[in-house]
Amino acid sequence: MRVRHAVAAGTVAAFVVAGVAGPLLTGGRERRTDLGRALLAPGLDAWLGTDHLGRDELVRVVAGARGSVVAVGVVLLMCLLLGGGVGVVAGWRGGLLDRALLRLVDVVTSVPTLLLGLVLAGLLGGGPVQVALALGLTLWPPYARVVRTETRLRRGEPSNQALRLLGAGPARILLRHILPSLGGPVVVLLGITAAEVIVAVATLSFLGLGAQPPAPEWGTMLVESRPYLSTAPWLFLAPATAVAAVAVAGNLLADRLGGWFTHGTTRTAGKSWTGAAAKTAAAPEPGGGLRIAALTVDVNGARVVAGATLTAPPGGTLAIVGPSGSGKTMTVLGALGLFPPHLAARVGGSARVAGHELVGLGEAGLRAVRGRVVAYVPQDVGSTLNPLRRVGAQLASAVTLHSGSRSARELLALVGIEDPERVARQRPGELSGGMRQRVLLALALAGEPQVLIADEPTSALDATAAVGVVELLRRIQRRLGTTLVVITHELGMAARLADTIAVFDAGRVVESGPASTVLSRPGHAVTRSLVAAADLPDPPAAPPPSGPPLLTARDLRVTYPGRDRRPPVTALAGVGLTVRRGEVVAVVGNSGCGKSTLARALAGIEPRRAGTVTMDGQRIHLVFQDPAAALDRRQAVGPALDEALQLHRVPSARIPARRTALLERVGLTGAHAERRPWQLSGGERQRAVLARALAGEPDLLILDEPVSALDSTHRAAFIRLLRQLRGDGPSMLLISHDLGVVEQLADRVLVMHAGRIVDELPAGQDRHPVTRDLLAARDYFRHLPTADPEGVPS
Amino acid sequence: MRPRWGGPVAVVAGRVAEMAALVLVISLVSFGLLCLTRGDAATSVVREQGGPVTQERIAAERHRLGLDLPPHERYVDMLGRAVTGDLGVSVRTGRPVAGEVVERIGPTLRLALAGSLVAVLLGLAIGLVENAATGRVLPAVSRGLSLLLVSVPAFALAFALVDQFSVRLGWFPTQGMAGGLRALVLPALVLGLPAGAALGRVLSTRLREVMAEPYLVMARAQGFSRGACLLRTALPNAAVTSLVVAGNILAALGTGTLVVEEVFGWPGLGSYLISALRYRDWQPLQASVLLLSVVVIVSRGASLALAALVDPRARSTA
Repeated sequence: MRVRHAVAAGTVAAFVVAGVAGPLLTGGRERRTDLGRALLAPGLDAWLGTDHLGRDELVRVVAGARGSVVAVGVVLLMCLLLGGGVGVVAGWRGGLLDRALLRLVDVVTSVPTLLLGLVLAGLLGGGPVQVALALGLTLWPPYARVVRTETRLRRGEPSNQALRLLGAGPARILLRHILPSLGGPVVVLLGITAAEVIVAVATLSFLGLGAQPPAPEWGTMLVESRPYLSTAPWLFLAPATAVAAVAVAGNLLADRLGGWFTHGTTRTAGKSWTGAAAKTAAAPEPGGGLRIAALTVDVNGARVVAGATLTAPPGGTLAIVGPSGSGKTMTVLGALGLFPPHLAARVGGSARVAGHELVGLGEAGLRAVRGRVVAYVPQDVGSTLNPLRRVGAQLASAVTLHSGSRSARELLALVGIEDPERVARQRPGELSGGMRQRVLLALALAGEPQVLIADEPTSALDATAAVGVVELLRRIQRRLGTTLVVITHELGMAARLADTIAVFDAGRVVESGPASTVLSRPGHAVTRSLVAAADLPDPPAAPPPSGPPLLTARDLRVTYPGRDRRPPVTALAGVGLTVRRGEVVAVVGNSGCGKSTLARALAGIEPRRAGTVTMDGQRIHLVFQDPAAALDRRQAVGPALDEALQLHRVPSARIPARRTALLERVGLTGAHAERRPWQLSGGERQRAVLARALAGEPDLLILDEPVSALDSTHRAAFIRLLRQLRGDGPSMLLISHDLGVVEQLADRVLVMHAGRIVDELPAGQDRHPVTRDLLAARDYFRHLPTADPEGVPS
Repeated sequence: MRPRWGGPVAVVAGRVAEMAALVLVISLVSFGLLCLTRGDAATSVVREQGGPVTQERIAAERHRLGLDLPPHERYVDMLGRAVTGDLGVSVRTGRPVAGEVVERIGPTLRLALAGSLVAVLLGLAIGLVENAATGRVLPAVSRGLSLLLVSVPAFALAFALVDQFSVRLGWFPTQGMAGGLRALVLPALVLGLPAGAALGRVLSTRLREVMAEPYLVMARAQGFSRGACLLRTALPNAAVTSLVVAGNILAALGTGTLVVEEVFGWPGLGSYLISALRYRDWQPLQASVLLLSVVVIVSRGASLALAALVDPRARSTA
């Protein structure tokens, strides 16, 4: 806690003490007049001076705290009860009640706060309690809004849906998981309201509707001081300072406490790599390539790149590979000076692009290079394009900036967009992931750069779209002769694109060289594990389980009502499937085919479901797509498992042993049990989610894209873990866009397209076109080109 | 397929209808509150006429003013006449309320517009300074100043400014509208500074969030300067997400005019409302409460509509 927060806390404490114990401290002296001592300047016998009636100013300031403390207390309580109550009910129940309550909130918001307060205070008669009531009745709407939004949001969160599937009732979810998470935003509001009340109480007194003289109240004291503003300014300054100090302290403290409550959600775990800079001699590099030598990057004092050396020859392709968090992106951000201004970043070493030294160049120099000599396309997380501007306008200003020779339309055509006119008129929110990636590449090409750096260009895409983007990158390079640098953790993609590979680990390059050499004879342990992850051996062939059906679904249909006056969307158009006991079934399809809806419909948490699901067992559990959202971020792994075991009615004496067994089963240790979700790596988090799902001993486990958020090393390890679960574990239904992943696990693979199951593997020769695409995408990324150098499917 | 009706016209029409309904609800609420009140204009009139204040005299006066009718009859009667532009007669002045309100709405609008201008300019300045300045001193000063401005009662700020600039330096008049633009300076500052500080705090936070977005990394990677990124990319995005809050803050200026008009003796709706409230003068009170509510509702509605117009994402949530 910093000094100013300590001062703020002290101020608030003094305010509360003065308000509560005021009469004891002052003993009624605040009303004692003594005209012989009128308007004394601050001095030893009256520290803050005296007013026109000879009353001691300090005593009156202390006594004046009482009205404000009472008002603040009453108003905050009313806001919590009224706003919190309305918010929780509206957010939890939803529907018509929600809309009705929102209208009520709208009405109260639209009545000007002070105005209604004024009318109420005027009509109920002036006085501190009336003032407080009036303010309380008008100040609660923000609480209702915040609480409603948060409740609604949290209610739909995977972590709470998962709890419902484990058998938790609404009371438990509301009291243990939703209300505690409201602390942060509500505390911030409380501080703001407290400050508002202090100011409003004084203002109402000024308007003649609160406390009246001679009652000591900061507002009336300010009013009384006015005639003496020039002759006795202390009479004004004392209460003004009191009001401002308490209000400022309330605001400051609220900011600080709010940060505390939401602690962990805003903080990013920083890794720091230490060690001497690797001294690898870089090859001499003429022309338009990229050469980075012994580059170090420190962000906020932590070393994130510890001496990286790599070279991309002009016109060639370099793939930067490595596990997530190994410093791949940091190297590029450091070389180009692209860290956000509030991060204190220091860059050392050398980064040369087309003969320009970038390190130490300064913002103006870097600006001349960026986009024109070297272009960088950040990883697409859905908000890499300005959401407000149309695609065409964004391209046009990039072209203008660089005086580029290609128009926006030509750039869109260059990146393989078939209908550039239409796409130019769209906003980023209307584009699919594959389209967004293409538009990003088009923006990067506007300045006709000699070097193009693409960061994880396919991570947000399904397998079919990823093939398209990789092919596009190859085409761009062939046509324009651009030096291409691709950052990825997918070795399959690196193999497709690159002639040189640099492998990162712990902030430095641990191995680099020609792609074929690095891939066929990996020298470093990290490279070996990456190669192993990219090329999992096929599972031993086992006879498919032929037991009785565990789950049978018939003619499942889900239709979402159209939003914004659009026609309704059919997500499932009649799906039937069976899963046998002990069987692992996979459903694959491209994004938007309805596979996640199918997962939710089967788990019974899709309210718009039609059709029948019959199940021979009792329990079904769903592992949600995003492991980061699947756990309550305020709950450590151990307590989360304990809660799941409790819900499964495991006697409390046996919970610790069961918890240990669960952790062991998914490859975690007791140390992980004490960590919260954000303190775990992606792979560990997914294991924790799996452990909790297993706590309820489900008969069927549905896994929605279980590995799509994991980097390739973690992905391989998680697939191995799921394989171990086969046999003694539950039946499984896997949902994925990646045929290569599910094939390694499933007995049967169903192919989905446009809300229907259109094909099944491994049966039949007559393939649906979607199946052919998926198979082609699998083969495209599976085999490393050392074994198959030019096998590009056309 | 369901029939597609609508477009922007229908949306706007819907919003307007919603706002009209809201005004009706508020008129009902404020009327209800007035019915619950202790004392009414009859008492004020009798007290003003002098002589003994007896129940008989008050009852007679109440009958003369029509205050003894059942509340629902009075409400319907009032509503019916309000539609035709007849807002009743002020008991205190004996003049038609409609005329008095029309006289007073001009000064209030002038004050509110000037105050909004001050608020928006100060808000922009605070938001930009805190995010563009590279040093530590300027942002810290800006943060401290904005925090202080939202923490001081407007009337106290007015006292201090009047004492300094009107009484000591004599630059501006202390009271009233005489003196043209010079008379407007201090009231507009007192009205706009705290709102601007609140606006600046919101905008600054939003800007800081937006500056960390990937599309700003992308913009800088394309070679746009920091200034261009801040002004052309970050500011519009931050402004859009601040619009709704900004609408609320600016709408609250409608209330702020009460205090400012009272301090500066500004002959607007706010001071009209307060004197009507003190006299328990119903018709002017109803009329001015409703008019100020309309100002608030319209400016909130306008900010929501503006947000939806600029940002397609705001449409479904608005």
